Amino acid sequence: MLLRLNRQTQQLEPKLAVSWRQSEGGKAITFRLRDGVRFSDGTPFGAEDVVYTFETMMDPAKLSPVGDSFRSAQGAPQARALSTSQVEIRFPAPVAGVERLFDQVTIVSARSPRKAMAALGPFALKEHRAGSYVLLERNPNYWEKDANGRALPYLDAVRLEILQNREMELIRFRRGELHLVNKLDADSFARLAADAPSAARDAGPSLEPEMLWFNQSPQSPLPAHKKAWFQSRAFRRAVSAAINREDLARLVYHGYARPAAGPVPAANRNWVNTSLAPHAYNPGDAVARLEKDGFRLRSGVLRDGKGTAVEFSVITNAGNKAREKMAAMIQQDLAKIGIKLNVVTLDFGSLIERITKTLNYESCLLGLVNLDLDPNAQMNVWLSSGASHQWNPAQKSPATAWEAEIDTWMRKQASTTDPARRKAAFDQVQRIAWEEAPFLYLVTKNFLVGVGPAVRNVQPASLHPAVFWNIERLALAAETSGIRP
Amino acid sequence: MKQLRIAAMGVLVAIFSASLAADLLSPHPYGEQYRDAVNAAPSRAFPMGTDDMGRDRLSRLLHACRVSLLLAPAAALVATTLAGLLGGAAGYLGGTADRVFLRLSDLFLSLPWLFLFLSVRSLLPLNAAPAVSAVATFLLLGVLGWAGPARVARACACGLRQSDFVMQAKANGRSPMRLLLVEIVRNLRPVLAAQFWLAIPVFVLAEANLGLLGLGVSEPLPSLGGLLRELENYQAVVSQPWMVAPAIILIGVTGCLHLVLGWEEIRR
Amino acid sequence: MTESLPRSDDMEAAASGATLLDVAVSVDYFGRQAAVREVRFSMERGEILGLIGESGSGKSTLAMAILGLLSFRGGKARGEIRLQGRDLLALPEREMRQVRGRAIGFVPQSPLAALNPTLRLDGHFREAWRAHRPDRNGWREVLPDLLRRVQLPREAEFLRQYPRQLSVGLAQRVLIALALLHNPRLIIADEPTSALDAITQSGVLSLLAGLNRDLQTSILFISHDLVSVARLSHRVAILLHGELVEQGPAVEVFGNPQHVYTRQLMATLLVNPLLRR
Repeated sequence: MLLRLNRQTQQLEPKLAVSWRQSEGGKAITFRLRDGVRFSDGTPFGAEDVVYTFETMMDPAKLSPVGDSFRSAQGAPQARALSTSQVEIRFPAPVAGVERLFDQVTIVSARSPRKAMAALGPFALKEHRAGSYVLLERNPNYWEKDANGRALPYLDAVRLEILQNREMELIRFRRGELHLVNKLDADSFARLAADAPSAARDAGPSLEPEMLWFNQSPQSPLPAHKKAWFQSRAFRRAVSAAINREDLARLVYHGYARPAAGPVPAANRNWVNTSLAPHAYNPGDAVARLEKDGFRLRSGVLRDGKGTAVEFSVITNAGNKAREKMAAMIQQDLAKIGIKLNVVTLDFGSLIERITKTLNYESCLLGLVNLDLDPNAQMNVWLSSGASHQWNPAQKSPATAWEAEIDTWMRKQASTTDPARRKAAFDQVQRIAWEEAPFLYLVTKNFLVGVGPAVRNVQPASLHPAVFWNIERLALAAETSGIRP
Repeated sequence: MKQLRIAAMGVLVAIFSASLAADLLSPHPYGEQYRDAVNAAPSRAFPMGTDDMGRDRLSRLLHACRVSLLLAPAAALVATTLAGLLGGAAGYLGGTADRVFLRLSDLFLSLPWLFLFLSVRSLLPLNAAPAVSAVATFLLLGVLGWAGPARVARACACGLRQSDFVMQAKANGRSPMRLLLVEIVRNLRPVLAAQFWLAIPVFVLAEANLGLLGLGVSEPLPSLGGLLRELENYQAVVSQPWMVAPAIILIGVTGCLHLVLGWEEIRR
Repeated sequence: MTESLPRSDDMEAAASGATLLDVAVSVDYFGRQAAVREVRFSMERGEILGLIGESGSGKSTLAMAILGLLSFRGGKARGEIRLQGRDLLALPEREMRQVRGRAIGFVPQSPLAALNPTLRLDGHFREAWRAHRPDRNGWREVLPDLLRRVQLPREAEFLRQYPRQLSVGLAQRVLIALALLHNPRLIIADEPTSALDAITQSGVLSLLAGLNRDLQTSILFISHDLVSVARLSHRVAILLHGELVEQGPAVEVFGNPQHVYTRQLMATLLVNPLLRR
């Protein structure tokens, strides 16, 4: 990669590019490349490799997800070599925060006969068995050296094991067969913390909020009265106020999570709207909001204006213990304000089908995985026309005034490259989402990792890939076989 | 042997009546979360402690027994009845009927029925009560579970077909239907009884596995299978040994059923 | 009275001549040709025919052929078996079932094995009755006379027993009672006494003789025991390797055996069986 996002500082640092410069109001970016770098197979690295990589990536037939994020409504960008060590990439329109995307672009050799095996990074692929493991081998031509002038990486090989069973993962880690575990669930982590405190490392809040949303789509096959409930802000806010987020974090995640306020977790330091606090747990306030909206709570049962008892189902993916537990806890919380919640766990396939195709569901409890800190990555979620606008996807025109307002702010942040103005616009989006509660943010999990006693230089971060983002500097105390995250 | 059988009967009666009276005997509602007392050790308030959501383990166990120990035998009954009729008929008739049966049972044993379970869950309304989904799951387990026991029944029926008393019944001019029911299926009863009590723990565990896929008995209704799933966490079991109670109950019930039913067949 | 039991009416209508049974068959088994070869014999009404032959000579095969049950043993009969003029081999299974148990009764060789171990005795009578009668409980009315005739206890406790609680002799009497339930024209008794001890054997033979005398029931008595056959039969037929080698009135066959095999059989006996009559 040309640049790397330092997972700890959340700043970009130079790698294959020694420097870069944006020009023409964000429509062009010029990289100055490092000299004397060779691929793992010995072929030299130069501007033509970057151009080749970029062209391959932008080929629509390749369906590259990273390529998609470079593309905009106005068209695809073009790469051009200015000299052997200078590349210019031109965009049809300014794209805000585009340079961070280069963190995810792996440069491929234009000349090497065995392209897939020629790497520029610290390790090269040696062996790969699908669903089982990936074996990486030290790249002898890696350019980077440590402060003492020693060539990086320190490790000779890395074996990435793909394990299906969390129980097995933990057992092998405890036996020392695995040196690193990239992600532990809270249950396993709590157990690890109890008997090997030094190995259990809490990397802090992740970018992954757990949330619940109601199906507000007018096309859904739900009865009209349920659509009316779900489209009512008072109803959504009341449900939100009835949920005890502290209890969720404490009991489901053993305290390794915190109540969530909005789409941007506190971990995303540059973008979070710090003025927003999680919706407070207050069943009394919940009932007051509902009564104001025409609902009545009588002898423990909440009824709407027409006298229909409020009952709805929440779907979540089966096998995720934490979500099943959260659903059960929310069930009890909502019972206190007279709402009957039915928990339905579905296999992931049927769940996705329901929330994206048939829209035959009432509410859904799911987590969001954010790999990217920049709000542009969330365009699809917030624009009312977006396919991932879960509560009412792919609208022709915004169904509500507040969705129209979100659309405006999202477009505004995307159309400028000025960080302060982008931040201000995205703050507005977060504020509206907080007020209208289309997503009820529940908790933000901490990123929990396991680090074996022999591993050195680990800087666990709460962004992917948490334990080995700085893989070239990882080392083992006793020079044993290699690390196995 | 006789004392043992009476003791087994006593255990069964105790467990079944306790699970029938679960509502009366439970110290707490089975779904109530006492969030300030999670993973509590046994105490006067919680005789068997609480689970990781602060729910009373004893109350959950009682209700789990009610769900699993009533529905699993019902499913086993469905499966063994089908097995007796289909396997008995195939073994008795032989020929084409038998070949069709063997193909069909092969198919039933090899098909990935999970898909059927998945589609059944998505056919049930989302707001279906947990009890409805529990009954549907066990019923389906029963309907799909005939093939294994039926193969055993068929093998026995093949032997019975050649027996003197079946030949004698034919010489008496008995109708094929009565022959099947009275001469074949009646004589398969010891075999079917064995299949029946084998099927009960199998179905209880099958329900637990389905639970992992979001089928079966849904929250907050407990089932024995669901409680057994907690035993996966071996470290928790070591620190809270009372968690193994559901496993003991399941083994106890199966063992006692074996004793009681087995004795019945010896006497006959 | 047992005598008053109705006989099958259609059978009565067909019973124009005095000949009850006319047999002319060959039997093939899968993989074994002609287990029985062109066997011809006939029986008159009220007659006892003794069929003699050693194991494997085809005696039981003939019995199965007459009852139409050969297919269950993997065999097939060719030729004609006429019961009161009707060819049984040409009857569809549905009608043949009406003949079994109703027109022809069957008494088997191993009485204990021939009773369903899971069924009480009364269950056996109930099932046998339901096979041919629409009324469910008619058997309860005819049963006391039937049991008296075969000299079985009439107490309810006896009928509540399971087959394994019976002695072999009692079990054979139960089977004879079952064979008599629908008052058939013909009883086929396949080695009915071979599993019994001498005294019980004698009792069963007397019983069969009495039935023949009182009810005019014809009996096809199949046995390898010359003494029993001679004691009971009016006529005798000798079966050797699936072929009928000699037949005629008992007095003639035993008094003046023609075939070598018959003479050999006679020679095994210390005393001419006729002398014991």
